[in-house]
Amino acid sequence: MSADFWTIAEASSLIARRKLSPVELTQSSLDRIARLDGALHAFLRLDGERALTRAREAEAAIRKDGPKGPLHGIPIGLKDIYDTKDMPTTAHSRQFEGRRPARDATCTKRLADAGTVLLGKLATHEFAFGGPSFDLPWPPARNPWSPDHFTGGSSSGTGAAVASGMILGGMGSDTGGSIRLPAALCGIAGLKPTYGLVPRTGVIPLAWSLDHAGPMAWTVEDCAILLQAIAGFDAKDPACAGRPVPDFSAHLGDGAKGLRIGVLRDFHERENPVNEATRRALEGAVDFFRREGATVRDVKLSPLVEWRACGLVILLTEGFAVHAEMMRGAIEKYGELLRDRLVLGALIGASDYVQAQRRRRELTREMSGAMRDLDILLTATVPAEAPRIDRVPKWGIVEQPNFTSACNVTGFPALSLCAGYGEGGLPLAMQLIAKPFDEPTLLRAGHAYERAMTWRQVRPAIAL
Amino acid sequence: MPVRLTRAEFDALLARAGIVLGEERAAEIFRAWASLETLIERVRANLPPEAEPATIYDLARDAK
Repeated sequence: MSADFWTIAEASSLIARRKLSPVELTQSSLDRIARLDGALHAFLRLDGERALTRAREAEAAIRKDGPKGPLHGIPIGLKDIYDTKDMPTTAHSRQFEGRRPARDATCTKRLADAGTVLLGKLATHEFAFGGPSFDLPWPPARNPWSPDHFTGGSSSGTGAAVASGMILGGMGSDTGGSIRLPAALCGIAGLKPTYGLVPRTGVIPLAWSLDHAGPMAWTVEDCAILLQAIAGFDAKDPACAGRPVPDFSAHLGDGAKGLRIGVLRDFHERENPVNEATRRALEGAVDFFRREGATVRDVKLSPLVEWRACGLVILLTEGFAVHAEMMRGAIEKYGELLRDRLVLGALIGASDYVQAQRRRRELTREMSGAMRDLDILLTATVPAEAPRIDRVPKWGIVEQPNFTSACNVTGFPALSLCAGYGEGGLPLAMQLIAKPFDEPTLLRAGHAYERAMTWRQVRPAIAL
Repeated sequence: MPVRLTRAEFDALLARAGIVLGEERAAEIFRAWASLETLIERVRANLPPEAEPATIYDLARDAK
């Protein structure tokens, strides 16, 4: 592998020892973007000059006082629903073309304060819901493992940019799986934190009560580093929890011994059967945790379709409420996918929305009960490798169950990480779930698995 | 499961929401609605009477 595929942890260690310059690192990212992004379309907006200026400032500050933390001088990108006062924020939509926010999103500011070097804004499904779309002002992002294939979404640009090494980490958002799905199909790590842990202030909403902001990176360890910078109370986000922020990296190296793991086997073997490669990958993970001294047993929850139904009714209703004025006033400015999907939200009755919120409380109680004597739940993130980008069904959202909605419904933290490679070298993935605000255990479990496997030694051929 | 909303009701709901669509588009969305309606049936079913909506908020915090 080329020597400049650094993880955040590796790069920050080298920067701290003055063996890697933030300017060289940023230039290396910009060079890779220049070489690859014509095929991958991960960036909607790139500002190389601004990035190099920030990198020089970081370098000077580090030379003078040392790094202020592990993100100082690290090149990142933001899904284009995170407000940036220095760059337009468009949600990948004609509706917001040229929109310039007055201020940064809280996460944008926290990452800047941590010393990151923002390279630009990343592709998303339109308003984090409509994609992959071919009728928007910018093309959809492509999967670096095979550009004819889907990245997953909606944080599609972040998935493609991290996997191909254009950025070392970035931000996604997750309302029904939009961090975990592209993380899975692009072969990286993606963390949907506990609802309320990371502020959404300045992140363009899709459905307020399901929206989560979270990190995506090549490794679980890097997700922990990014999470440290963005987690914590923000009075401007009414859902933000006023809890102390733990050290998310402190227990990363504690291994899997003693963990109590429940396998949601019915989810991925019976209700939404995964393909053979994914089944083997999940069984391999179960075997790994057993060998390492975790206790593992099967656990049952309500069928996947119940979680999906609850999540989708809430998502579509709140999503239509977000967009109602624009749907009435300028419906022609939406792409087909977002427009047609959101119209469904206009048809859902008020009582059905409330029933879904009642169901949600019951389902949350059920997941809490199932985890009373467990630390981690394990299942798939996706049923198989990425499909071709031209074979993604428009109405899959209502016709197919998924593995990710359950944790948007409950707000429990969930991590997708690479679990190997299947047919054609496309990534496989698994999903780990923990109790609310127990990200340290979730990250510990993911890191233990990831460190023991060889999957992180392989990058997409296009990027080499 | 049969579609419970008739096409006429569907059109009326769209009109009430202020959404204007061509016939081909409306027909496609009406077909997708049938799948969604089966999911909506699930959230309505077998809820215990004591189940409160998850949107109930913490007044002490929100009043700060």
